Amino acid sequence: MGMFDAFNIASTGLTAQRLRMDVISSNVANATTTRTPEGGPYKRQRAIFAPVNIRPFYKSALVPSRIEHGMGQGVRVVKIEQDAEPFRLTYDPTHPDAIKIGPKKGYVEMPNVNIVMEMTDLISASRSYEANITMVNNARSMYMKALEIGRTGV
Amino acid sequence: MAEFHFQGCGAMFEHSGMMRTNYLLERGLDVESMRRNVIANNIANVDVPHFKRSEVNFESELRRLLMEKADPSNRFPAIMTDERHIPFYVERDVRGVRPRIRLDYTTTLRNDGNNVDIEKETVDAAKTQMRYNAYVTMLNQNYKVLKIAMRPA
Repeated sequence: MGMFDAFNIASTGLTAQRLRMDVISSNVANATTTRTPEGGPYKRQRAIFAPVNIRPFYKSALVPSRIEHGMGQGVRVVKIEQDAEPFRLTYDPTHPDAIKIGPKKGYVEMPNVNIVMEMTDLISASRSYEANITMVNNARSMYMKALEIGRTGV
Repeated sequence: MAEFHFQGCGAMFEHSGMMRTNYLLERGLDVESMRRNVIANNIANVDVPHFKRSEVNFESELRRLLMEKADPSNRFPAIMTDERHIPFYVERDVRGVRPRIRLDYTTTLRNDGNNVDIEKETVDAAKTQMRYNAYVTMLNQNYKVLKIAMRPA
């Protein structure tokens, strides 16, 4: 157990939430992007989180007795995944990326980004970021108090 | 009990009640900083699906030990019909109590299987901080009394 464990753990949370915010702002910025290098419209991205330690986490109450309950070491971003949801179709025949042939003629495939969802996600990320900041401040004031041990003043 | 050596203090105070207070306060500081780390980890993992929170268990076991010590009627009774029977109650020293990290795996708070309640964790962090401050204050008070006792007459 290191001295600055609380700082390190909270900072992993800050990093993860900041990255989540970056991904969300990328989604919002590309809400109407119809051309990407890999072809087709922009696909919504999302950050996938996982705890840092090896400790398993469970869906059921049936936990084997041999688990060692160690202390966690924070959170990490495992990957940034593309959302597989279908694209939003908008009718706009004058758009250069409009579908030229077939039954969907005249429609444009827009990214599968839902602005409302992105905004609520942004609020959630921002609140989690603040909670981690609270932990940093908390740990700092505890360290400052620890420096007063033995300063009796007699 | 006799073979135990106090950390950071000489043999001079080993049997005085003051060092027992000191020891408990030091242990309390250790536990609170451990608890703070566990809470930091819970808060960092607030958005991880299927993550389960942990908590530190120390005071309840200490309280149980002290209550068993103070009053024999609190001890778990054992009917002993032979002198070779072993009682359930074993005399333990307060210094043998260790903090334990417990995984709270039975509850679920949200749809994604996570059970971190951010408000509860923040309040717990504040409580941890206040307890830590109180322990430091008491420790300093203890040192102060010790200093007064060591002052030449």
